[in-house]
Amino acid sequence: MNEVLDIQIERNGPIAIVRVAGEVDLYSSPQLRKVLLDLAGETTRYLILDLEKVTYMDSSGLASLVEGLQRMEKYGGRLLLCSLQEMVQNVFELSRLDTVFPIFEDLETAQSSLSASDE
Amino acid sequence: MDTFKEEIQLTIPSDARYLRILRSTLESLAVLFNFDETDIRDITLAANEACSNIIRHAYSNRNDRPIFVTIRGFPDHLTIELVDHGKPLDPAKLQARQLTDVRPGGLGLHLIHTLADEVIYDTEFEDGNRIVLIKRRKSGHE
Repeated sequence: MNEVLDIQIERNGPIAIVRVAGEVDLYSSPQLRKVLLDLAGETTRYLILDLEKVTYMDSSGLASLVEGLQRMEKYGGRLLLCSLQEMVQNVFELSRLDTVFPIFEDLETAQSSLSASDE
Repeated sequence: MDTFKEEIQLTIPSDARYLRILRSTLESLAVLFNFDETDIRDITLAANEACSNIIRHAYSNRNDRPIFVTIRGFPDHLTIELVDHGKPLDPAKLQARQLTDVRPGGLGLHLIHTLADEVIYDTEFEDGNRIVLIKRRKSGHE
C-alpha cells in the first residue's frame, strides 16, 4: 500500500473524523479507499471527511468516496465532506457528485449538522 | 493550417507515481503558453484522466510500459497527444456514462470529455492507442 497521503483519524463514539492531506490520484487513492472502507462499519455511524488539505483529486479519488458512501448507506451511516478546496469542489460539481454528498463549508458546520440531526 | 509554435515531448512509465510529474509539467507549460488558470486546471485534469485510463486499461496496471506524451502549443490552442502500445481500447467503451447513475467507476471519461474542448481517438492507430486532447485558448489571452 502506498502511504503517500497524510491521513489522521479521530474517533469520538459513533463519529469518525478523517483529515486528509495531499493529492488524491490513481497512485494515492487506494490508501484513502482502504481507510474509508475499514471505518465504514456498524460502529461508525457518521464519518466526516475533512478535505481542507487535499489540493488535488481525480476520478479515482471520487470513486473511493462513492464506494465509502455506498458502503455506509447500506447500514444507515452517513458520510459527510467538509472544507473542499476550489479544485476539489470543481471536480465534485463537474461529476455532479456535489448533489450526492452532503458537503459543508468547514468541520464545525459539519459537526453542527450532526448535532442538529440528533436532536 | 495552424501555425505551429512549440512542441515538447515526454515519455513516462505507466506507473501512477508519474501522474504527478505529468501534471506539474503540463501546468508549467500551459503557464508558459499563457493559458489562464481555469484552462490550465481543466486540461491538466483531462490529461491526468486519459493517462490513468492508459495505465489501468491499455496496460492493465503494468507499471513498466511507456506512455509517450507530446504537448504542442499553437497561437490559439494547445494539444496533448498520448500514445501507448498497450491493448487497443474499444471505441464503444470510450463514451462518458450517465451521471445520474451514481457508482464508483466511469467518471474519468466524463471528465476528459467535459474538460477538453475536443477529444480525438485515432481509430487508425495500429500499435496500441493514440488520443489527442485539444484545449482552445479563451479569447483575449494571447
